[in-house]
This record gives sequence, structure tokens and C-alpha cells, in this order.
Amino acid sequence: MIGRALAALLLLAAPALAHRLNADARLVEGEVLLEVYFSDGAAPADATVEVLRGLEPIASGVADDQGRFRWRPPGPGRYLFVVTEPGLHKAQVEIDVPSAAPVAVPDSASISVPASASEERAHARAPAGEADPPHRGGTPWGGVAAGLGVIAALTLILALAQRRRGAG
Amino acid sequence: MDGFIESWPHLVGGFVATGLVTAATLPALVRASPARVAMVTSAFFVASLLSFPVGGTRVHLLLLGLAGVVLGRAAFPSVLVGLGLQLLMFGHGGYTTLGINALNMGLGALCAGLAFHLLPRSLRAWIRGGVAGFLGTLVGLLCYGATLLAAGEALRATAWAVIALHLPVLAIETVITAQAAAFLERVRPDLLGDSGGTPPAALSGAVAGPSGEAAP
Repeated sequence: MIGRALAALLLLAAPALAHRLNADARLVEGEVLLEVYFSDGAAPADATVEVLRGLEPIASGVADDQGRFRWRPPGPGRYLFVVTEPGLHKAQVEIDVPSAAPVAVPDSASISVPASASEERAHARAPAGEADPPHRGGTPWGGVAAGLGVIAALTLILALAQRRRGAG
Repeated sequence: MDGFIESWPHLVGGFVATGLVTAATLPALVRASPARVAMVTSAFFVASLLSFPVGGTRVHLLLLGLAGVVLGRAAFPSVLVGLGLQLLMFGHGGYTTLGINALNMGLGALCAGLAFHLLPRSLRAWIRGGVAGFLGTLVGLLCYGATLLAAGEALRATAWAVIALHLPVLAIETVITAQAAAFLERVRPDLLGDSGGTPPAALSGAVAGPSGEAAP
């Protein structure tokens, strides 16, 4: 009975995912594109972003409803983005902006003429150089298995210690 | 809380207090049934994966009531292990705030266990479980809020916001603990320490039997 209850609890973990806050930053056409998301891929609401250079805050803002924040750095250097979310989750990421930040130039071989009006609209919606966000989210099954393994090992140690005490 | 609490007296104090309470409750864990400890610790560990959206953020279950009801005093070190594994395996929480987190959550679990076993046994298990779940989660949340309030004026609004955001969790935990207590009363009353009205050894500090398993 207890085993079934525990199995049910573990199965419940499949659709409902972990909620660690993550932040990724990359350069896109000279702008820093910051993406903030929970471990299950959901974007937080009202996530504030603070930009620091060294220890000095130089900019701040709020990520949009997709968890994206764009910022054009004033020059080369290392910048730290600190993201704070109302539910007391925090994330930070650093990015180095080189002195000559590359600007995305469309490859002529990849330019295609849209075959229809809807395809043309689709091309217009996707800014150049901005790739689809990487796949993110998913249950950390490896972590779950490792954690349960540690618990099993500790339980075994406890059982052996009790048996030894009982025998002693 | 990692990154929000940066005052080292708070952080060190959290670890010291957690160490002291762990030392006081570890004997109860050593006497408790290994299977029972494993079940509760595993459930607590996995519970952090069960998150749902509330007010633009995400909150997760705590299962402090369940831990306290089933383990009594042994719930504190069990919660500590669960939190440590959540940090190592999922990156939940922070290394510097592990002491404070364990203290806040562990105290909630202890209160839940105390409430469940001090309430009159004439009350049905689901009522005692519901009260324990409510009190345990409430104490955990209030301790969490108090920690933020003690950290400074800047976190005052955040403290109240976090408590408010977790009110749905409070309701869910109350129901879950009540249901779990009712279920265990039907199928495994020994897990509640209700055999003949005897409180669990983990709570009363009774000596373990010859089998090495704590007497119910």
C-alpha cells in the first residue's frame, strides 16, 4: 500500500516539474539577449533584471512575458545579469562582450523567397540571428534516481546500525 | 532564499541552530523504522518537483505535515537530508542558506508531529492530520517569513508576498495530511503510532525493542 502510494507520488512528478530559475545570455546582433525560465520551461512573470559591471549596477529592467530581456551593452567587458522573481527565486549569469561583437549576416544561400503570404509573415516575425530557444525543462530523472539511491543507502546504513545495536 | 539572505550571522546562526536541533533529534531517527524514514524522506525529496503556478511564480509542496505525523521528532533530520538532496540533485535552494531552510522547514515538521500526537485520540485521525498539516506548514511559512523580516527592511514586502503566495500550499498540505492520516489509520495505524493509543517511540523517546525497530 505504501509502495503504491509512493509510486503514485513519483508518477505525479512527471507532469509537474521542478521550479529552479535559470538564466541564459547570448549576444545577438550586438545586443545581449537574456532568457529567464523555470526548470520546466515556463517563463516567470515580472522578473526584474539588474545589470552589473563589476560591482556597479549600470542598468535594470523587467523581462517580458516570455522571460526575455534585451540590452545593448555600452562597450566591451564582462557583465553580470542578476534576475529576481517575486516568488523568491534568483538567478544570475555572466557574459563577456568582446571588443568587436559579431553582427549576424544572413547567408545568401539560406535566403529563400516565401512561397506564400503566410510564409512571408512567418519570416517577418522571426528576427534575423535569433534562433529558437533551446529545449528546456523536463523532469530531472537522473537527479531523482540519484537522490532516491542516496536515501536507500542511508536507510540501509540505518537498518544495519539498528541490527548491530540489537545484536550487541 | 539563496542570494536574498547574505548576512553571515544569520547564515551561520542557521547552521548552528540546525546542528543543535539535529543532534537533539538524531536519536529519534536512529530508533525509528528505516522503512518509515525512507518513505517519508523520499516523499519530501520528490515533493519539491511538484510545483504549480501561483501569482506569476511557482510554488511547490512541502509535505511537512506528513513528515511530522509519521516520524515525529525524527522528521527534523529527515527534512534536513531531503533538503540537502534537493540542493545537490535539483539545485533547489542554496548552500549558504541550507541551515536556515532546514531549521524553518524542520521546525514546521516538528510542530506538525507534536500537534498530531498531543491532540485527543478521540478525534478522528483525519482531523488530527488536517490540524497537524495546517500547523506544520503554517509554522514553516512563518519561520521562513520571520527569517526574511529579520534580514532587513528591504525584504519586508518580499516576506509577506512569499507567505501570501504559499497560502494555496497551506490549504493543499492540510488536505493531503488529513487524507494521509485517514488512509494510514485504515491500513497501517502503526505508522501513526496509534496502536493502543501509544505515541510513537520517535516522539516519546522510548527505547527500541529487541528487533531494533522502534516500538509503536
